[in-house]
Amino acid sequence: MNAVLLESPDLDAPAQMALDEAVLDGADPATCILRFFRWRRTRGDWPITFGVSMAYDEVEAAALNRGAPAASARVRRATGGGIVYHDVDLTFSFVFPWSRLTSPGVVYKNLHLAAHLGLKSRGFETRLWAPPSALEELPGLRAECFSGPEPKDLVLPGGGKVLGGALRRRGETGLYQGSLRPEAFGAEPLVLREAIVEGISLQWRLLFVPRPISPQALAAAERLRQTKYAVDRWNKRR
Amino acid sequence: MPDPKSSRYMKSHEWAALDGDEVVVGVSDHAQHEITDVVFVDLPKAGRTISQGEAVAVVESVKAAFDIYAPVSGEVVAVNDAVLQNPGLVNSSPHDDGWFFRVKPGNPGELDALMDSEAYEAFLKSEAPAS
Repeated sequence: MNAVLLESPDLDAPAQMALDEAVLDGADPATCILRFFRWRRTRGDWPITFGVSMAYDEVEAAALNRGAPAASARVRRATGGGIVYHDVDLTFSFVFPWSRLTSPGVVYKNLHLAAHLGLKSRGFETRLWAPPSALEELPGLRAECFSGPEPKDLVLPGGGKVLGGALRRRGETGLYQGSLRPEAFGAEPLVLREAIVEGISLQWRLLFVPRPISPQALAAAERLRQTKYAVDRWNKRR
Repeated sequence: MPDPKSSRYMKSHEWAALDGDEVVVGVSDHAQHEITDVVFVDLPKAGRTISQGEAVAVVESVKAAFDIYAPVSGEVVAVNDAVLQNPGLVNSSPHDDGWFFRVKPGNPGELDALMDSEAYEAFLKSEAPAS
């Protein structure tokens, strides 16, 4: 299995989401692609992304309730999950072969276990969160990603959520989008990034090779940005 | 609704069954089991022309969204409003109440070219992880 670590430019939220989809669409079925990226602010404000099926009104209400500026970008992702406020988070995406129809819970657990192991190798303790009791009824998916843990999210020993993510399966390829909270570890994002790379390398038995994003992928991403992620028809479709 | 035994299947786990002169489409029991609890379904609008193999719908379970592909080309003539209102029908009744949409097929030969239930069962076994 080939593995590529893509070097990514800082882009605005529609462009980052478009680039993830362009990488997903252009992925070789025998290659895993890991990409870390940072967000360019829109008019000075950090962006917000939200899950593919969320109602825009719900996102807007939650964002305003949290005090998010009205001018900050709100972008619908291709993946599921809830609202993520991208202020200081370390964001990454992972494109991988999803050839067999394995449950998303298993994929999610494997990726977060990899992150856990990588962080542990650098001395950062975390654990996969599970409900206190198997019999306890969960309240359902939270609207805001970091308002509390969901099963198989990564949390600190004390319970604070530090890594959440969401998935998309397209044909035989999967896209994971993850958000890690660096401030919880008191560490530089670069250290945490190396930990994540190491964890996925070990868990998935991959050797990542750094590579720039191809001009073709950037062009495809720009088309997606202009026709999808930067337009209301997509972001406010529900 | 059609018997799963007489339905046709795609490798991406959609089923398609002829009902009169229309083709009914859904996802297989195996697929719903792996997708787990479906919380959202997005279907193509009636009147839309679709092509075989085109991603035309999305199913979301907790935190994961799945593309659903058109088993046949043609015009979408009806969608299942019940599954839009109650996505859990995909899990509880994938071959019956959890159907997605009906297509007026443009090329009936496309349906015959899909896997029959026996071939699909064999495909599932070939896909199963080695124990």
